[in-house]
Amino acid sequence: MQVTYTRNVFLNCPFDEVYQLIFQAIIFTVFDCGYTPRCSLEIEDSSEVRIDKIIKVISECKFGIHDISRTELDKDTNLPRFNMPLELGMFLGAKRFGNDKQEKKACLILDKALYRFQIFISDIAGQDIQSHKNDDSEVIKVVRNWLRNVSGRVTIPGGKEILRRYRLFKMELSTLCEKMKLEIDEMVFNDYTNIVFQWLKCNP
Amino acid sequence: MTKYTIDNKDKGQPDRVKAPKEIYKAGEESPASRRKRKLMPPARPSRIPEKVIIKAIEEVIAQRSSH
Repeated sequence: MQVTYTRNVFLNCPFDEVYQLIFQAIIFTVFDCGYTPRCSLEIEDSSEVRIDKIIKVISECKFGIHDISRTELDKDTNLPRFNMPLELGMFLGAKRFGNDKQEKKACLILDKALYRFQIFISDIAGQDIQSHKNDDSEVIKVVRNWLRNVSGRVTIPGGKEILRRYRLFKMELSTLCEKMKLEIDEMVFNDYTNIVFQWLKCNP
Repeated sequence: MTKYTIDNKDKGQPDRVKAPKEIYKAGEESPASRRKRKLMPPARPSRIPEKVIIKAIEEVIAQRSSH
């Protein structure tokens, strides 16, 4: 596995079906900006302890995108999910208490509405918090602009260009899956990332 | 003398190539901004072989251009 700390972006997001619209748009944008999206889903080895997988991936990423929008209570348990705030805390802890390399970490915190976080996680005030409005075109713009600012890289394409390519990719994804004899709902994280990467290589 | 070099003959030195910021005004597109970004590969391989993915993409691109 290639480990390139400065080009890795840790994704701390909900993994449910409802969030797929936003999640897939973030993954595409990170690739199109010239970075590798990383998350705990990439490690399919179930013998590894989940928290160890997450710590390892966080330590290998300079950048992090944390979506804290999932505050609803679970329909079955009537309890909220705390994984995203926990992983955000781990990322901020690594930046605060880590070595010289870890201190250079930068993160973007996303919610569905601006300033909503002040009601449920006010301690993160002062961080870079932006809203994606549950809209894929908005999240593409926000992630692209943030990566452009924190990296200073002039080669990152414009938001409208990424959105144009993403729309075309989404339009072709079902045909691609058909040709690969893969059901869209069977596509796991590593399948999706490899398809996006190869598609972008063929559609520069 | 081109717009990319500075004449240093009166200083007894060879001509100097200008830095991009000396050539391009603020807001003007420099060659650096037209450079392509380098794509980074995924951290892990897919269960689907790479050649199968590429073949499917090439077929879709061919269909796209024939429409």
